[in-house]
Amino acid sequence: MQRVAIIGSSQSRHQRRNADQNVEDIIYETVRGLLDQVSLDIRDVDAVIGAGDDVLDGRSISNVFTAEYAGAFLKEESKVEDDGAYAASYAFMRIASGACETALVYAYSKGSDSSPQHYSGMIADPLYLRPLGVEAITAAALQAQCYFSRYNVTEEQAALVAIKNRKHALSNPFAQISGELTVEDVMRSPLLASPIKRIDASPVSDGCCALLLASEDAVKRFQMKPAWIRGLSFSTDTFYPGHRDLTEIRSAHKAAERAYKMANIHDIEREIAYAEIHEPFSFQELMIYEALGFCEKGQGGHLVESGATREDGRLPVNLSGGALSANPIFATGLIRLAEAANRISQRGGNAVAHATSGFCLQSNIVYVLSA
Amino acid sequence: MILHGDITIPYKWTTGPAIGRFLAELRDNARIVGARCAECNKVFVPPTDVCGQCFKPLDAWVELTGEGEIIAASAVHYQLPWSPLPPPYTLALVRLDGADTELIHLAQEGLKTGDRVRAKFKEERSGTILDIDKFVPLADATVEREATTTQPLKEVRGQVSLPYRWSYGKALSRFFQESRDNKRLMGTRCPRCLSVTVPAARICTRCFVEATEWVEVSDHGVLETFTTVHLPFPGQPTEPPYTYGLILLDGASTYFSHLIEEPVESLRCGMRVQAVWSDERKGDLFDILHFKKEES
Amino acid sequence: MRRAAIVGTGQTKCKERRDDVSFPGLIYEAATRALEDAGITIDDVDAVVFGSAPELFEGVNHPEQWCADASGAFLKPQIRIHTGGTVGASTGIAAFYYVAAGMFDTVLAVTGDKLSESPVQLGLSTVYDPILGRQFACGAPSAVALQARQYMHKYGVTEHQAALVAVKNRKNALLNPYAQLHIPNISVEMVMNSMVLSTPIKLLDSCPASDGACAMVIASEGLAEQYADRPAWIKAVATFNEGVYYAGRNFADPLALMEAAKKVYKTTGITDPRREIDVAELYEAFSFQEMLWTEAMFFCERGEGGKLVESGATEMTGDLPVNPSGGVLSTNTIGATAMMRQAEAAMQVMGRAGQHQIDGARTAIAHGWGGGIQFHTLMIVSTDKN
Repeated sequence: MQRVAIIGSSQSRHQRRNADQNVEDIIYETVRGLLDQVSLDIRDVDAVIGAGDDVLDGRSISNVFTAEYAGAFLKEESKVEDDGAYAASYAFMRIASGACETALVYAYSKGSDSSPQHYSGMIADPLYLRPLGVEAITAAALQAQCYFSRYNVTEEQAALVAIKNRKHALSNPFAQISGELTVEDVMRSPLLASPIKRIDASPVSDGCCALLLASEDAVKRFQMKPAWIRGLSFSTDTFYPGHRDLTEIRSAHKAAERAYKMANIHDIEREIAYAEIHEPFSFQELMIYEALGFCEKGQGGHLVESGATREDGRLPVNLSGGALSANPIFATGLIRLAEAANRISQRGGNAVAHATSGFCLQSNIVYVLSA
Repeated sequence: MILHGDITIPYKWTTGPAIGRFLAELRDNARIVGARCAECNKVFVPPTDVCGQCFKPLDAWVELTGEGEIIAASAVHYQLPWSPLPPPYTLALVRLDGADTELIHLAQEGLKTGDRVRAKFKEERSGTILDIDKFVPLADATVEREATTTQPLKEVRGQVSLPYRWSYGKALSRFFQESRDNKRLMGTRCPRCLSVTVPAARICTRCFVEATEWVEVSDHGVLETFTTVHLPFPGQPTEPPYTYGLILLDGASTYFSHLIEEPVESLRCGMRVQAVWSDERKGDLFDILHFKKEES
Repeated sequence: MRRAAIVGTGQTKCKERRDDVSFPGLIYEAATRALEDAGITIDDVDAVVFGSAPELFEGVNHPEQWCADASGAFLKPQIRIHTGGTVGASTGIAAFYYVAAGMFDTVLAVTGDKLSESPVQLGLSTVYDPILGRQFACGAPSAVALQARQYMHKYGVTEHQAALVAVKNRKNALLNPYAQLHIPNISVEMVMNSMVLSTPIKLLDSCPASDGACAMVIASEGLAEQYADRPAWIKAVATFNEGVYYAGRNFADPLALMEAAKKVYKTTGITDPRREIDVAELYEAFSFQEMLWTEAMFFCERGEGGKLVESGATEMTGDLPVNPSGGVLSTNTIGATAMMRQAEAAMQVMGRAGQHQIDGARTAIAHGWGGGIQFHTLMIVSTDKN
């Protein structure tokens, strides 16, 4: 297997509504920004893999139009209709196989052109879940209730995640939401579906992220600072949330186990310096800590309380502010990968990047990156 | 500029044997059934087609009493256009006696983890998950049994309606402003290959460079190809028969797509055509009514 | 690059409406058949690649998650590919890369759509941009009608020649038990006199809409020889895009297909595709397209596609049989269609094509088409590993 590295990334400034631009504008500016940043021409890109959602775009087979704006004219091109972190896994496979040297991944959405509730409601199957109004928030609320009562995790502990990530976002120029919050602010914010309150939920953003992956030869040829993808795995669980034990994220645990094995990571505490986690809701970051082996099962609340995952902790998580600070659906997970790659290519060490998809964290993907 | 619109599509979802049986039992017998996996013995409620773990179809039926326990409950405080009830209402995970999984359904307000509950059915039932009205405390539900034989439901009908407010984006906003206000068709010229994209676009996609020079092109051009649509389908925006085609406007390097209003027999690839402008222009494709044969 | 081969294929019976099975159930049917054909169980599968076309067909977003139990993805890696008409092929090709990368040894690729769940042309009309063209689009037929007219105008092919394709493939379909359309008395007159959908395309120039699914098992060198006596080795793949609004576009010149063909011929060292390829499965959703694709794949000179079909060369008895399965003109699920081309090509070189087997087929090519007439995929499979 050829070694594969992330050699550059770019993001749009994520915002609630970017009414002036259509998705093609946002994609072009982000991809152009990436090429400028790494001083490469579109001719240096061998393949383009996109990630976006037809329902959010209101246009079926939307890459008919978007791919050209990512530079895919007469190129190898394909599309993963899931978070960009999954599209990056496909780009990884193409380079790892030796079929190409460089691959560009772009992921985007304009939640403000459509209604994110409709997007999420469409994930609910039409026979069992949709008639009950089940969508991302209500499904997560049931999961939170299960998790809290099983392990005595508290709403206040979940609130600490929201506070931490919004504070981290203060230093992220691309973030949509940032600020200094108190537990009281979170607890008093409007209830969406108990125990989830407005501030526990990620916002909806218009935005794009682009990433450039390269083979070892290309890294040398272009003289880039690489973040090597040393471990990569992903996993999917059963669809119907009631058919799963919602208190543990089996698919994230499986993915992490395999990614660590591939990367030869044995001692997470010692070997992992940094993590970016895709946390659609504050409490889910705690559950993902557990699945990624950052702490024992049920100890996620204590981990965040200990301050270990803060900026100054032993394993900082989501210095970018995470999904809670900017959430362009389909780009949110790819942003985790971009942020983790940026950090370790500057500071060295190993990082974990995680992304998720589906109700109650149904699918998860885990990367281990290394400078 | 923004285009407000929607996508609305009617569906007839095929249930398949497992879900079809479950829904038919709700409708005909006010009864909840589960399906047991012959391999791992797990009883799934509600049943789906396949046990994912064993990769075997679920087709051994188990009748349940409709009684069980609340595993989790959430009070929902926001409204969706398709919410089953006005908020606040309670959504719960219910573990029915005899099941190894949980059913997601509505529950009476105030119910909490550990409470014993029973399904309360609606009087009028049509074969949907909402035939169960909600889960209520044991004492509040009467047991109804109308044991009849039942045929699995084949399909459930419904509709999806998605609202949109699409941004035109930078280039098309200016293009349609010019067409609306000045009856002018504008293109953008590529600084590298000099081709002119019409309607104006942000970039030349061949060269992948920004096309910043705006040029006016003619509203006359050549009909490159055309078709007369006869096929009707539900929800069609224009009623057939109608003719549309691709026009290479004088000064443009890309095709412009529009309606052609001429007797079909007189149309030829390569013929000259011209735009017929509308008097009421709103900044969309129908600022031009259609194209017609060029007047000599 | 690690070698990989198709070692099992599975197709559902396709019908206008499969009222006996849900969409996930349809996926399950194809997946289990592919595993059975490969002689393995789901436990032998390391990862799943799922593909389906626009989610508005079934009205469920993230269908791969809805179908996760049925596709065999339970606690396995799974991604969803979606590239419109090419999706079946793009999915097979993604699965190939997963094995070729050395990441997974055995991958199940499964695709499908249940087009009867909603009005298919309404769903397809949402492919057109809402600001530029959805107003008068009529699904796939009107877009391809524009292509057909431009092709006729530029190269002089005729409606009659297109009808020959429509007849040839429907006759082949009679030998394929999985094909949806079986029209025993099909004739050129029937095609020419059939209802006009969008000039010059008539009903019998056009594919049907089907409920159906297709799956393939792709395995690495070492395992592939254990799973199949004659694996279909994947020798080259391509997934090209040419865009929609580019300057100088002519629908009669499918640049992406020509680029893809050059790439796969170069990879495999093929210099005379007409002679070196034994059988082709092409994505001819409409009769005209088969002629155009044969030109763009360099089976004949530009403009000679009509003469190629007239010569009988593309019949099952000809020197380059095209679509012995009956092609897309006989079955079109959209989601699985391009994978059916790959599966049929594999069945030919594996010697498992039954009544529509081309004797001695050693090298086969499978094509996929989709998007705004701009996506093209190719895959070359061969009995020859090296």
